[in-house]
Amino acid sequence: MTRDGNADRGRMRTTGDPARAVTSTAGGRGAAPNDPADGNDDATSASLFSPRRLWSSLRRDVGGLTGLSIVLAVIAAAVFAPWIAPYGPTEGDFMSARLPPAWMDGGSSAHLLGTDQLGQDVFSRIVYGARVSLLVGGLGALMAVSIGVTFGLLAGYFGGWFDSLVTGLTNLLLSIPYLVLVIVVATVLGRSLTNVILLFGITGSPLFVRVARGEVLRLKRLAYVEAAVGLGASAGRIIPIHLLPNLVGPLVTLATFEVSAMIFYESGLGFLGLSVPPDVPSWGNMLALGRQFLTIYPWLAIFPGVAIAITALGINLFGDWLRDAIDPRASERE
Amino acid sequence: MFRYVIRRLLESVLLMLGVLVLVFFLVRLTGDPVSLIVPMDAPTEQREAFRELMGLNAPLPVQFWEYMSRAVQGDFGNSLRRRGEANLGIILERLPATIQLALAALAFAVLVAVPLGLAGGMRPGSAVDRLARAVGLAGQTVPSFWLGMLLIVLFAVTLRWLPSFGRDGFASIILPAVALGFAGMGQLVRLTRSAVLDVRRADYVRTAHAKGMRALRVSLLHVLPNVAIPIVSVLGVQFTYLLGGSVYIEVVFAWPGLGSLLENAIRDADFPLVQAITIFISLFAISIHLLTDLAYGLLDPRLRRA
Repeated sequence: MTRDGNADRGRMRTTGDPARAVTSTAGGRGAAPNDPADGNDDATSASLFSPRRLWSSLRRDVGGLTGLSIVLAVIAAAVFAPWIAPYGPTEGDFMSARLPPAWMDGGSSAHLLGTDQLGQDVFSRIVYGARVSLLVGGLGALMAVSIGVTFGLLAGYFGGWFDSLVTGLTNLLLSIPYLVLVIVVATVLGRSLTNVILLFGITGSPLFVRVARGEVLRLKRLAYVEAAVGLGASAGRIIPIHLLPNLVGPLVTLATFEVSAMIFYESGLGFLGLSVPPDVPSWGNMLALGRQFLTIYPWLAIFPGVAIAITALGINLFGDWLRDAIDPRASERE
Repeated sequence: MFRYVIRRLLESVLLMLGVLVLVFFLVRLTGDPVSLIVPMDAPTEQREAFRELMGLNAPLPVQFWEYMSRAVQGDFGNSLRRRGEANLGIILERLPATIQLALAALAFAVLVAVPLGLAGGMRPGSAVDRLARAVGLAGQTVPSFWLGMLLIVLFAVTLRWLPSFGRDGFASIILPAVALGFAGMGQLVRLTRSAVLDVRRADYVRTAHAKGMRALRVSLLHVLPNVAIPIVSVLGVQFTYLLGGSVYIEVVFAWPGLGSLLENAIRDADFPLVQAITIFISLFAISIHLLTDLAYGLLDPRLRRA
């Protein structure tokens, strides 16, 4: 599920999502996921999120396993870049500039995927570029979820003017076509890694506000929350103990897909020259360069895009499995 | 129905006003617009003269009032470059190219996705279904602007079948429309397929099969009309998404629309034009949402009461 699907404003709020209803009730009556005292050893009563249940489901899912392997490989590339990449990311050598990939005529085995106009090794830059993409995707999504859940929870729980304000702002931000909003905000913020993460964290949050708020509105009417209110539990108790754990299911899947969406958007910004500074090796910056030399040195544009596509494939395969694993209704349909 | 229309109209007007306010403060909260436009080393007198010219030395509430009262009259200011032409005129001149591209992309997405999703959903697990799932996944994993560059390398540079840039006749719209519509196509395949999976178990579909109706007729007469509603309902959202995505595609293919205009305006630091384009695209998107919601309300009476 990508952003375009979720921008289907209003409808989600008024009708609710039946798929989510199943997830959350199965998520346990306020039992915290992964609670060690929750008796994880009993498979039938185990939490939806017990590592054992998830692992046994993942083992049987080829797509999910493939996705997880890809994601782990990309993370490893980012973390261990200096040991994997044969050259430094900005290490240029004019003597070996504009080399095609090794298997093409004129290619050199010293540069597997060729070199750019400064003689920088394309493969090495792609390996280092994984850092920017993962940082932006991971931290951006984390920030979007944190902001979104905080405001969505409070707005849904307390209602009143605060709810109107949050809902209004959310609808407003979602009414501007996302890619345009991102471009304009990036233009005013300027090029730095922190700014790009902030940009996606903030502009990505309305989606999570909407989902979290809708979920809280639904949960509030369930008997166990009403009972807690009736027993005199304070908001400080109900929100973290009864509401927050039940948001994990719907939000975790959405956040997974959001990581891949943000990696896309970051590369798009880089392509337009609006993301991290030009000297930072990032897939988007490499694509911007590739576009300039598209008709003469097409490999400069092709390989960074392959890296993005493989990463997005991994995250989406993993996300598809995750959704099926924690959303019983979705897996039934397959 | 009447109250529903009025409510949606009011909501849309409020959202439009909100966009005007948001864009105004977005541009101003992040710093002095003068320093964005005038070179850093310009003498102070020049900076002040420019500030005066742009009306930027008036108090913020006054500036805001000026800006809002002009905007509601359809005056979105003048470009800094382009000999100070009115922004609205520049935008309207570029708009048809963008709409044309977005419609072509939407048509491509629907024409491929709906038959494929229908065929796949009717026979889960079959070869067609696996193709449908693969296309659905590909739509989510291939960045549109990268696909655009690949298409250029393949069809324009290597095979020389189609032009690689510009807007000149039918041949020139094929590559950009495919690149722009690809992601939406993936999403529509997934949506169609899962809607068909739900519908194919319905009693009336089983009855149609049982009375010996050919599979193709069942798909077209009984399944397709029932999956049309969710599909139609996302088309409006899709269209506005395509408007945003067209920025990248127009840059790749040098397509003379709003997207490449926005990119140029950013490159030129033409901030009134950037502001005007953002506002215009947002207002356009809000209007399209309003229209699809109203059309949808006409088609499905249950929504009006919601």
